Amino acid sequence: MIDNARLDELFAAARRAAPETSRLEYAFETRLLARLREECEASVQTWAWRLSPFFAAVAVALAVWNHAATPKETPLFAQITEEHDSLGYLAGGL
Amino acid sequence: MPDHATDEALVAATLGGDDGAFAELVGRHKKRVFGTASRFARDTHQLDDLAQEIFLRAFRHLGKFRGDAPFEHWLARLAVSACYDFLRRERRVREQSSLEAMAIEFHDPAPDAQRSATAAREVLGHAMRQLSADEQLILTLCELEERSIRETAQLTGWSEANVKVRAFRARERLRKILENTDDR
Repeated sequence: MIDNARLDELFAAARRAAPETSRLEYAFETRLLARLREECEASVQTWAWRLSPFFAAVAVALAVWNHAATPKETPLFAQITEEHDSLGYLAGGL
Repeated sequence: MPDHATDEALVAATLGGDDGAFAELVGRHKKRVFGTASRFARDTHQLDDLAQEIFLRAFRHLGKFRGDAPFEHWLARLAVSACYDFLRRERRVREQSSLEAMAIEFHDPAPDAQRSATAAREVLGHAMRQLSADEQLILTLCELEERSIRETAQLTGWSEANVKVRAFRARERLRKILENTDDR
């Protein structure tokens, strides 16, 4: 049977056994800052990976837009060309 | 950054990109953070990881520090939150540890006070790992760190009444676990 007093004794004893942490505290700041830098670099790479589908989609969209926006031979252009040819013929060019 | 700079000034400098200021902050508060984390971690590797996790969280959330309470209090809340998450993770991957071996030490009246204190810590640690993360947290704060109900409520974000109820229930559960160990 463990009564309250026994439990309190156990807690009191456990409180006295605070572990020695000075060895771990040594150069802790240096280790922490190194980890922070690592995480920072890793997060840049992670974001680059995450954004790669977006950049790929932008590249595809630009390619499609570029292809669609390329001027084709319009009937007007053909008409002008034909007129030019006719004029040239009439003027004795051809 | 001068040595006598306040914590708030160091926080501002860190937010401005000065890593040295953050190192200074860490240096000032690491002892207390290690003290808290050592109540939750089982070995030195876990302790180092947990302490790093607490300061990493502090670094990431430094922008949320408004300065209306001392930095130390803000960091203590963050430390408790990180320790709570650690306990929950630990519980998920917890190995099935046996209390039987520890029961022998529990009954062993060790002549050396330090040895018996270490044994008590180990027995308690093994028994507490059978508890839920909430129960472990509340007992660690109230019994091992001897924080008041009000302090514990502030650190955990639970109401004072809730802390009292949880602490009582956790003690009862711990007692039952230790009694079961005793019976074996």
